[in-house]
Amino acid sequence: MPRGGYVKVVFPSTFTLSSEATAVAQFSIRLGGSGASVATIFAASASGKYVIGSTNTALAANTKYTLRVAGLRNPRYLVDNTQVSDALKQYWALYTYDTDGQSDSDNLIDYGRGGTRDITQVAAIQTFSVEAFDTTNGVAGKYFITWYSETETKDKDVLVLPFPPETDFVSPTKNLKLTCKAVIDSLTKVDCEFKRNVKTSV
Amino acid sequence: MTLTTVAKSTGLYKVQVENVRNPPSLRGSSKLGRIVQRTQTPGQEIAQYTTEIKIPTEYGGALVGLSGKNIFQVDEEYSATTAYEITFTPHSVVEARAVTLYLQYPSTIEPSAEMKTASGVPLKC
Repeated sequence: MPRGGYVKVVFPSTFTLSSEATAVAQFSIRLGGSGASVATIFAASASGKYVIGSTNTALAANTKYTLRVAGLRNPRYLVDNTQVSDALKQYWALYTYDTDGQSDSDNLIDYGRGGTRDITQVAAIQTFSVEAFDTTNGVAGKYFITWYSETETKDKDVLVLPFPPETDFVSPTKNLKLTCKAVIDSLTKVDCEFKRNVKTSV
Repeated sequence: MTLTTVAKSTGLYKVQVENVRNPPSLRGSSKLGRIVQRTQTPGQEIAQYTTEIKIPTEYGGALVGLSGKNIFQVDEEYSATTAYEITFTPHSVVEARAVTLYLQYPSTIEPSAEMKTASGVPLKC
């Protein structure tokens, strides 16, 4: 690969480039893993999910180089690639280009795709509390569920809250639809449903 | 619960749930199961809370309608050995297992050695 060529790494859509500035500042491609950097950053795109480096020396064929990308945020949920179909697998891809640009049709030198990464450690909810408004035994009434999370929450995420068996749900309309509402403005709409024997253990 | 519309992607959240019945006694509850936040489809886990949470009960429920008219005395003659029929309505669920019913009677009543319930269950005095 010639000096002035390009190396482009495309990361899976479940990853996010949380800081383009960090990606720019810490980008490197090194011979082996510890040699001098052989490239400088050319572009970093959060929306395009890619980072491009420009080589400042020719890269030898059949030689191992290590590319470092920083400022990436892991997927916000667990990923077990052994449990998903090939169509849903999240692959990393790497392209090398000749000196005239990053055109897949005109300047592509090499292309590789196939690397996957599992996310195996589920994030912790920082604090969580369940409080009954009336703490008299046997009374049916309001409960306040409060939690603090630094993990990104999106529309239609589901919170599974297994109440202990000593409690019960009194359904006025027998439809098992709990009446739920957001108390503070971080949530606009909440829908609740009561189910028995939901297993949440891993 | 489904967090249908999220206004802030991180931070503090608070939800009110209605019509949940408290534990039946002042013993409170056992611990809640594992609390999990997950995506709707296909249900991939996002976050969890594993520290133990129990639901305490602080105040005892009241028996409804326990007054003089709910205590029926079969024989009203003084010093007679008789039966009392006491009707009451539990405010809480009384589970189908061994429970203790504590009945305090006036000091002018002397219990016999053969006290039993209407269904024949012997009572300890």
